[in-house]
Amino acid sequence: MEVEQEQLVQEVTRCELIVENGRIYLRPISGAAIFVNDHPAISQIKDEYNGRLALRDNDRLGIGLNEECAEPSARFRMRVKDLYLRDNDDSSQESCDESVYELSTSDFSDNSEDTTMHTSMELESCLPLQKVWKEPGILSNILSFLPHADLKSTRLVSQSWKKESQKYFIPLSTSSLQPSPWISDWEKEFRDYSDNVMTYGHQNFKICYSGHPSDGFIEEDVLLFIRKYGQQIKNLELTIMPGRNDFAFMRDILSDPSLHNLVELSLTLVSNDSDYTTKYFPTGIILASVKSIILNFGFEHEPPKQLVSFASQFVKSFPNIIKFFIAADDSMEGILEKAVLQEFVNSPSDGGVAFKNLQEIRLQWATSEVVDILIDFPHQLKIIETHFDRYDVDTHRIQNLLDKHGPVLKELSLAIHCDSKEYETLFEPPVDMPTCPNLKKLSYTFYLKDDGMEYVESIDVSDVDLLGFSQVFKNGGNLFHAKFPLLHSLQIIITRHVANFFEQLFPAMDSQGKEIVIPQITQFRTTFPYESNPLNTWKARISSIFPNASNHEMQVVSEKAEEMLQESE
Amino acid sequence: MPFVNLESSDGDLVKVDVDVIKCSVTINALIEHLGLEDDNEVVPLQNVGTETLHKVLAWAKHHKDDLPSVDDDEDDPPRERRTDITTWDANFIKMEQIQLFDLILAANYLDISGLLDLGCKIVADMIKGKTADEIRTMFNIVNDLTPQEQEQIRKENEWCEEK
Repeated sequence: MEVEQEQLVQEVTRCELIVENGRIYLRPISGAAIFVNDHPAISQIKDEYNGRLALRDNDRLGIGLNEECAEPSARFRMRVKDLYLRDNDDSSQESCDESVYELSTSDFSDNSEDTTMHTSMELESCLPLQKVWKEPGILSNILSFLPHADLKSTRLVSQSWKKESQKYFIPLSTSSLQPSPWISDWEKEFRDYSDNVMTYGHQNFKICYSGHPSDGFIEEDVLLFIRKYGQQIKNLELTIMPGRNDFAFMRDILSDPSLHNLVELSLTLVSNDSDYTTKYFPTGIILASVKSIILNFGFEHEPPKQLVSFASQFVKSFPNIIKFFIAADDSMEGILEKAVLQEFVNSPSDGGVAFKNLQEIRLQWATSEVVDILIDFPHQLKIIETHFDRYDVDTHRIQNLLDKHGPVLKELSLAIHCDSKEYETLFEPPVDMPTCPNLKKLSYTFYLKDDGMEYVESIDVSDVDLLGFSQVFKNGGNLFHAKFPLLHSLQIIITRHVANFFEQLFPAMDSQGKEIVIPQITQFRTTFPYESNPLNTWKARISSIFPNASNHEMQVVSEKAEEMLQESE
Repeated sequence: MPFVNLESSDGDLVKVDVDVIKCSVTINALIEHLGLEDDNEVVPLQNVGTETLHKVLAWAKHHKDDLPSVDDDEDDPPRERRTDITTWDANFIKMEQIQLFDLILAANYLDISGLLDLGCKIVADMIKGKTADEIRTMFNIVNDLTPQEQEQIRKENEWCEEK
């Protein structure tokens, strides 16, 4: 049967191209449309000539799309003459009376004339591909796993990809406004910024302000901007650099009623000369929508005296926060953390605010007093992350902290600082890790200082405990699962492996002589000792203990360890 | 009823432990809707071929005793989802692209979120680091954006920093 011009051959899922006696035949087997010469109509191939269609010179095939599909340009096209030429060039086909070509979408191209056809490729592959991209739910799911940088590319793929990418791209994007001190530059940059905000509908904003009080025009513009666009702001990062001596500007921004959709607030204050008296942040400002607060304080000299009362006053404005993170200069030695945490435990009858939704606390530093506040917290916390000095925070406190929050903890991250003379405190007395039925992520980091190495090497580490973790671990996978049934992410970082730390931490056998296997861990990171055993020995040990741990994470760690090895050599 | 017969789009019957396939919201609903009471009843799956169905069942069997998903809380601020994959899943998902996409379609149809996420993570990994042109070529996608629209997106991309 000769192909007529403007003829659509068949709706099939699969076809064969048959080369026979110097001619090419198309034989539909089963569902994607196969077009000849872009004709929109459908006609069945009759069974004469064994259901085959003889293709003629200059016929064009469009394969893999049906009438629902977008444009003919998406189709794979090939001049039949080219098929003949290639077949003649291919000596491997000469002895065959009948050759079967199967096409793959991976070989489809917009450059139809240059497309090369290979044998053993699947025409079928076009079908699931086309169907997948027609399912918005699937495309959306795929895009949800991409970071911001890749979403920039996916937005440029097509209209539908742009649309689906947008809902992940915008929440991960932010735009900075760093006012220029020159009024002419400022006017232009501010105009562009406002236009872009309006065009793209951004939700996340960074404003870094280091203006001098004389730059009143900037403050006025920014405040007008907040008034205009405040309702679309969900995340605000506000940085106030030295040069600004009071926080009237910050107060005016945060007290603007248009910010009623603000969810995350990050505030960075870097100034010594600022007036932290509460007159610039009076009571009565309440941002009920805010769920997450990040406070960063940095100082060039001594921290301001009023900072503690300022920070205490500040947090009262956010009664519904779920997450709280605070980081202050080392010179504060945990004082600021203590002051703010005290606000969280003060009852309303004492002039405090009931932070009943607070679930997550991340502290840059915790003293024993801060840990005591966490132990006496009005309710249990789901996420705790902090650094502390092992000398200051004793085992008894750690035990009480874990006992208090263990039943609801989802994520625990403790970074313990310890100099060599305090190493022994790591082993005595052991903490009894409570059952944590909801714990998903556990991270212990031990910052062990190198001073006094002779002393360090003499320590007996035959009973390494490291906050009770070893006691659970050494009793095998079953006890581990019973204690932490949901735990899947584990990180044990030790900055200085001494003696046989690693062997004690991750023994191959449990206390009953059985191999330790913990299949539930899918993300695992550790540091390997780099001064002794071959790295592969440790890597093999970890792989057998955590068979389902992500290889990628392992690789990251081993690369670091290898770097350390090279450095030590 | 401990077993159910699933009929693939190729007409093949596969007998499956109900406990294994409970991860499929679609099959659970079909069993409930059809009121299947004995082991000889058949659940037709018109969108899943035999080969793909066997793959789905292999995954479901391995993950039969999985605990509930450990996805991050809804309260978490927006960020891309984790793409870590267990060693077993990584070995399981090693297949030709056509099979992968068939599997994704099947997981979507059968409403098996864990398997759908696994397939989507693999495709996301394939996309990572590629340009828009490379993505279009890889997946045979038509660029229906005008040059002006593309230019506008590029400008916007430049302006948007990562949060």
